[in-house]
Amino acid sequence: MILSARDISVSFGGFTAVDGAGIDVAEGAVVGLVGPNGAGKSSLFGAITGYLPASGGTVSLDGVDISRLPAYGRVRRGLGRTFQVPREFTHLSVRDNLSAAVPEQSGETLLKLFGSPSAVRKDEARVRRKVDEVLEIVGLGHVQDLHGGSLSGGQRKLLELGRVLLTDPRVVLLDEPFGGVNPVMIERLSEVIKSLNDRGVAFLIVEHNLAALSRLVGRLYVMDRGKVIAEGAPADVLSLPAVQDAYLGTVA
Amino acid sequence: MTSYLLAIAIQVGILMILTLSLSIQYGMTGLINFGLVAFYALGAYASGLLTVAGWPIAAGIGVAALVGSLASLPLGFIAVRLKAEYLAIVTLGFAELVRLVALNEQWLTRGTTGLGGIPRPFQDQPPIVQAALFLAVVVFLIVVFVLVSRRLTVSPYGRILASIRDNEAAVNAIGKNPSRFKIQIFAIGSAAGAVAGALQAHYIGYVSPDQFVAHVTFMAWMAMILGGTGRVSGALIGAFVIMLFFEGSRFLRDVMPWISEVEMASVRLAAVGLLLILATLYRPQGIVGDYSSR
Ligand SMILES: Nc1ncnc2c1ncn2[C@@H]1O[C@H](COP(=O)(O)OP(=O)(O)OP(=O)(O)O)[C@@H](O)[C@H]1O
Ligand SMILES: [Mg+2]
Repeated sequence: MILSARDISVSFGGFTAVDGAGIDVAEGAVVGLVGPNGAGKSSLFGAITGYLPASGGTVSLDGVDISRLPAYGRVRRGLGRTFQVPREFTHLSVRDNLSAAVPEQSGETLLKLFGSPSAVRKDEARVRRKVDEVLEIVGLGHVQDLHGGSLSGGQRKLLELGRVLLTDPRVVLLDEPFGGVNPVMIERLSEVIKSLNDRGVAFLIVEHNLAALSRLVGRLYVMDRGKVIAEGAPADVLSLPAVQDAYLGTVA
Repeated sequence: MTSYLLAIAIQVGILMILTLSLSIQYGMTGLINFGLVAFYALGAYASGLLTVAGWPIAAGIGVAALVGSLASLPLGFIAVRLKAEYLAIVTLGFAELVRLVALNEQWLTRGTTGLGGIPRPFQDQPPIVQAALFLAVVVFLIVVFVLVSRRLTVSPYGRILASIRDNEAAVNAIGKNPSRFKIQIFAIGSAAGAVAGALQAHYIGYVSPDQFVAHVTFMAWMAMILGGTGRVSGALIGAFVIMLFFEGSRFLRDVMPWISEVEMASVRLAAVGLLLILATLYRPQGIVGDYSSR
């Protein structure tokens, strides 16, 4: 397993948002995570990525326990994420948004910044090349000089995806990548996800658009009230009575 | 008149370095330092003590910068774990602590008596030349800190600083540790504050605890807010305007002879307060604006 989360619990005050949930993502797989609003999907993401303190459970990446690493440390190990509400850098240009994400830059250490300007300059050329590559993949080349904050909702999702991509992830957690995105853009995003998956990047995707999600994932987890209540092939899982109840239950 | 202008120019220059210190810390990463005077004092005592003991002045100033940045580290480590407002309180407390140590550790600082006989550079020159050369040193150090600030902002390093100002949580998501950058920036800013203190010590030739009151911190804050938080040119212009105002209002006494010296000091502060209020009303981004508005 590239990503394995066991018995994760997350509480807010007295309220338990995630209650002993576990999830596995195999190397190179695309896995879905669905469930009604408030089921605890984003909270589980938070715990896995180190954004929320888990009150219990372990997270391992490629067999290595990363439960004690801070969020940025997990990213460096190859665990990328996007947010339900995109968190692009609004005042930075699209290009700078992406450039900032390139790992191990000489110009980000004080020693090299002041000690060897030529190394910094050379490294900036590397950063530019990597960013060009990703601009091509996510198709944001024509808006590279615009501020992140001036992009459309769909473009923001693409930008965040591109930013994650630059961190060289082995598995990426996407929180509602299609939320508020028009059908054409959903196609675009799906294409990008597929092509990255072809290069070996695994995905765990939270999404309410089941139709679009089903076209991407091979396996699906269903969460309700903090617990995983089902897992398996999308068609099988979605027809289970318990799953239907969970969805209908929140409507009723 | 020339020597008066030189003296004022030197004070403006020292205030510029102090303001740059804040502008680096607050403007680049939003760190609120209400205890700037502590670093100013540490720099003054460090360089004062060493040069009295025979060290060259340049070395004293260098060590002052080092002491300032080292002293900032524990505060920096605390600060990144807390909200921005807590650093304000912690630094305020630190300033008081430094002042009390200066006051009470007589073996080191000579307490209220103060530390005298601090060497002044270029002492073999005639007074005017001496002051002019001193001013040149001050200007040189301003240029150094301006260039350092520029390198910190217009660079890959600055890209991360801009990202931190924009959305700190998202900086973690690109695998960078915001705390590392904030601690470093706090240390660099503190070094500037300490250098300003060292310069003051070598200019007056004497340090005592009563020079290190909160007023010093607030002069720099007023200058930064007036000039524009976070931009180097804002710090420089703000410091210039504030000093012009304080010195200029000295001549108000000729117009209002009935006011006593003590009253005058209050009137000047009140006037600066009014200037700040007007500035924030009519030009909230400061005279030159901040990094995000360029
Ligand atoms: N920071 C927080 N403080 C308090 N309660 C929270 C917090 N974040 C989430 N919750 C609560 O935890 C529960 C799970 O929230 P979470 O965002 O994980 O659900 P979700 O499955 O992602 O829902 P959605 O599909 O609406 O995004 C909800 O009841 C929510 O109100
Ligand atoms: Mg959610």
